[in-house]
Amino acid sequence: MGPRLTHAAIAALLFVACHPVIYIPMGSELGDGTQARCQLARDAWLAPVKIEDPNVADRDHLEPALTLDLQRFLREERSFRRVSLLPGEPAPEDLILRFAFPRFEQSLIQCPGCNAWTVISMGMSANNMESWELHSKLGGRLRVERLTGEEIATSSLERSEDEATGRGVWRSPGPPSAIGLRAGLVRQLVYDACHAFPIGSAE
Amino acid sequence: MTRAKVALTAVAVLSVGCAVYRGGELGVVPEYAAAPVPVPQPSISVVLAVRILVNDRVQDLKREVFPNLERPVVKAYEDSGYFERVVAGLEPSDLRAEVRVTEGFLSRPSAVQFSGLTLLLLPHFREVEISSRTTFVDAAGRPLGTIEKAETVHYFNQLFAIAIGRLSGQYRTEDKTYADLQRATVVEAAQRGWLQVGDPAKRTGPGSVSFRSP
Repeated sequence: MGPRLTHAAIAALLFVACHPVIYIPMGSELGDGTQARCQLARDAWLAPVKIEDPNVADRDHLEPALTLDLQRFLREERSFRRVSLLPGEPAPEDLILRFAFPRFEQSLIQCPGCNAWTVISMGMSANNMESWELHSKLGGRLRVERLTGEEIATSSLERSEDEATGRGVWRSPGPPSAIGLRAGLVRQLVYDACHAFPIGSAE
Repeated sequence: MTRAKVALTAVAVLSVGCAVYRGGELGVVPEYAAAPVPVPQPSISVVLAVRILVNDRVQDLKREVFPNLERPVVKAYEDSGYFERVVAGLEPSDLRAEVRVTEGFLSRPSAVQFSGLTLLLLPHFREVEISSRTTFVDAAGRPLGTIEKAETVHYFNQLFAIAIGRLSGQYRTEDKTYADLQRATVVEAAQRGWLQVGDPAKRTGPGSVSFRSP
């Protein structure tokens, strides 16, 4: 490699280092909610979400963040009249929502030369990220209870997704993420539970 | 290649940096002493969710980063002296702060590319807007109120910006802004009387009202 190319490569390395981090998708984000297909005119209380997947190491941080994200998502979906977090003091007619995720697997695979190519081309190549591939497997369960602990409705679901992007960093909507998968799973769990609900459900 | 050229190249390469400055939307952040709480409250739990936007598109947050974002939030409540106990997460407590932070990274791809082609001789800008929306909730789960704070951090990327960027310690501006947002939130909640557990008369507004910093 000639000296000019070496200098350009070093400069590009520093240049890239000065830019927003490309986040590896492993979070709790659910994206923006849309109008739910099934809505219940009841106040709901969201219990702290449980990640039951033994491979997830940092549950102490992930579970509260996922609970808070889930509350925002359900509010935006308007699946229920109001969504509050437990601990709290629900009224006798309120619903308790217990989400659990027995599977919460994600792995990101990147080709070995991809980072170097991204640096050399300063993130402008159309091929920068085509070898990034995200494998996601999610399993979720929703149990809707009365305040007494009596089960009203339940739903469970498992979904997986392989996603790769083939666009340059600056043109791409970002690295692959399982945001859509997580949102779809939650949306379906609520929809299924809503339809299993004995009274008051409506399309 | 002469030694002078190598040295010049090395200086140029090592001079790439960012000048960083704050937008000032938050204004002067008062100290905790500006709004003393007469009696420290028993306990507060702090729960945090972080949203990352890159050019207005929602991205996933790398989980390893989360503790670095949670620590300053919890510290803001601890440093206030307003509480006897501060816990992170959804724990039973007398008060709860539900903190939603959004970090929005904004850069213009065409400007970045053009600047990159000149190896940063021509500068480009990028911004990070950090916003924090905190809902205070009592032990029964009733919302007391919501406070929103936001500030933008501007980055000026240029070949020789190292002297005003990296060397002057401005790279910590983003962390300081983040901490200031949390302190401003806690102080404002105290000023509004929302941290007085069990004394609704001292609260200044209905629970559903949101207050946004100018």
